[in-house]
Amino acid sequence: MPVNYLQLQSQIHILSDSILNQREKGKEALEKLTDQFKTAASLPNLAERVSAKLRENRGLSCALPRDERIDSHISAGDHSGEIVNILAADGSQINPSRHEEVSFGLINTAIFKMRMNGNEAPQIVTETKLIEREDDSLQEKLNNEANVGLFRDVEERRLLSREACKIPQGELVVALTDGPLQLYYFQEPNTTENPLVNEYYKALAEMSEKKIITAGYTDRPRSTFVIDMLRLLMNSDPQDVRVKQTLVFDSNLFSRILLPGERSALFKLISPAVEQMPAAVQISFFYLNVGSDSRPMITRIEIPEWVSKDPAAIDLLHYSLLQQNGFLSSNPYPYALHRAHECAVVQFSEKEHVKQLIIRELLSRGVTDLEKSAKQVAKDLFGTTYRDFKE
Amino acid sequence: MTDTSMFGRILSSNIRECVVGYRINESMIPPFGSMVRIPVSHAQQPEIYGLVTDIQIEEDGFLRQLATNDQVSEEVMLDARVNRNVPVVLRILFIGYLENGNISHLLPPCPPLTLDNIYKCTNAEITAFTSFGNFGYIRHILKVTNVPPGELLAAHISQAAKAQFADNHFGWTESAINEVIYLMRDNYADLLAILGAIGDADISLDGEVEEQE
Repeated sequence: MPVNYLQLQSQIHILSDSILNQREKGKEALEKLTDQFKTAASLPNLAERVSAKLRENRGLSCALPRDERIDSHISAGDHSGEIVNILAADGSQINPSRHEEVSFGLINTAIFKMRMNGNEAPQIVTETKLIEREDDSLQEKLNNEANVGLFRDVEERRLLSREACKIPQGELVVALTDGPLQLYYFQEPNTTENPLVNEYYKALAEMSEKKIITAGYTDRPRSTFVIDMLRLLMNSDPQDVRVKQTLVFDSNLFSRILLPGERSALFKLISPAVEQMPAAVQISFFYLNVGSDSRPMITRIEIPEWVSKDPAAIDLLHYSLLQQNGFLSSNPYPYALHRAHECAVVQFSEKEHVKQLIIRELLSRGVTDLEKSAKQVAKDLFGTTYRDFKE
Repeated sequence: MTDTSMFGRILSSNIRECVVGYRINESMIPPFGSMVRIPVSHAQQPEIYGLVTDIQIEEDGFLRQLATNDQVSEEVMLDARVNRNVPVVLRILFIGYLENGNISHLLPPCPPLTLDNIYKCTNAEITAFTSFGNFGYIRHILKVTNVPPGELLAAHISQAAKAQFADNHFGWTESAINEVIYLMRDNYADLLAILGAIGDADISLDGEVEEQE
């Protein structure tokens, strides 16, 4: 059945009212937060103050200032002409479905490797893995999408680490993933018991040993770590601090502070999940304006501890990200990450082809009871749409 | 003929023509008007002969975005040319075929299949095909619609004349042009356009391409 547009008309009106109202409130909140940010920036011993507040309010997530003043806006140094290896990883997946003739999961991971100023064609490495049902210790868990997603995230980092570590020692390497460094799909409290999470930490540790400049790139971030830090500092009511506000994001605040190409100060990310991570891979982040004067575009860059301790590495990362975004300047996003995505994505037709290959193999081994569920058969029937009934 | 002259694969075909895709980083793009051969894969015979009538470099939305940038780095350019799955597309007009050692200037009995290989013709193949019979294949060229027939004919005669000259077949060019004049005798306007194109190709009647001043 088509959408009931008549019903939607009034709801769209109400939704628009709500969005405009939120925006108005957001403007007011942003004014106040900007003032608070400036005040906080000039406070002595700011990091100690935030740490003290955090001790009083355990379990909160927020930003913790590192060495730079929090209102810093820093330009990148010039690294043009330097040979820098840019690696980007991305993955896609087929989630198992009990409605298909055969239920299977698949992870496709791609690494895109560019050697900037090397005058070489970039290289692409892809790895495709069927998730085996019997010999995987996570067999039961892999029946849900979140766990396939976790497996994919870990595969991305594992392959990224493997390819990055192949580059000869002494060459500069920047290794990028899309999204936060923290595993997005991982929500269980005890990290050390999950073999996939350990695999992830192992990949990061390998990159740490080789001093590979690793970063997670988040486009249009909706995080409020810095704003939460301000609220923690300025608000005396602990209960109020724990209520998440959604009117303004850090990106709104930094779009007023950062000029095009500038990065913010570096902050340490404090959260219950990050606290469980090994010290070497604890996360810091900065914001980066990849937009223009008329259209600021704030992105969040997460880096592990070994990178955050190396100002030269941060500067090279900053420069490389601006260069990568410059290749797609009308719609800034790192070129290498986009290409990794292009190479990793599994199209619907490819999924169908893989399924047919599995079915063919099973048929040749005498399996004959391969059928879709009745629900899936009905869904797949050609022409079962409202329009076709009408015709 | 060795496999080294293979340059692309069939994307689609019918009895008159086919479309061929190949990677943009191929070093030798067969020029407009050049002769190619396509062995039909399900049997080594017939081998279809054709002429390149169009060369199109495809694009997608991403390349369009890159193209609007002031500067494109060498690495991005190489990535687009070497790695991205955007082929150069050639259109091939069929002009005859070879079966059981016999050349025919008729259209082939069956079209090539998708992903069949396509090869550039050697001078010997060009000479053998264009010397056979009485230029019957030229009628296919004169009926081409996607490019001006005169341009295609001029490019073809230019290539074939060199091959014929190299094989000591003097007088081939003159005979070919006479055939064109005969076929187009009732269409004076188009004949003039075709002769004008052949004139611009600076082909001497003994087969050598004349040096431009």
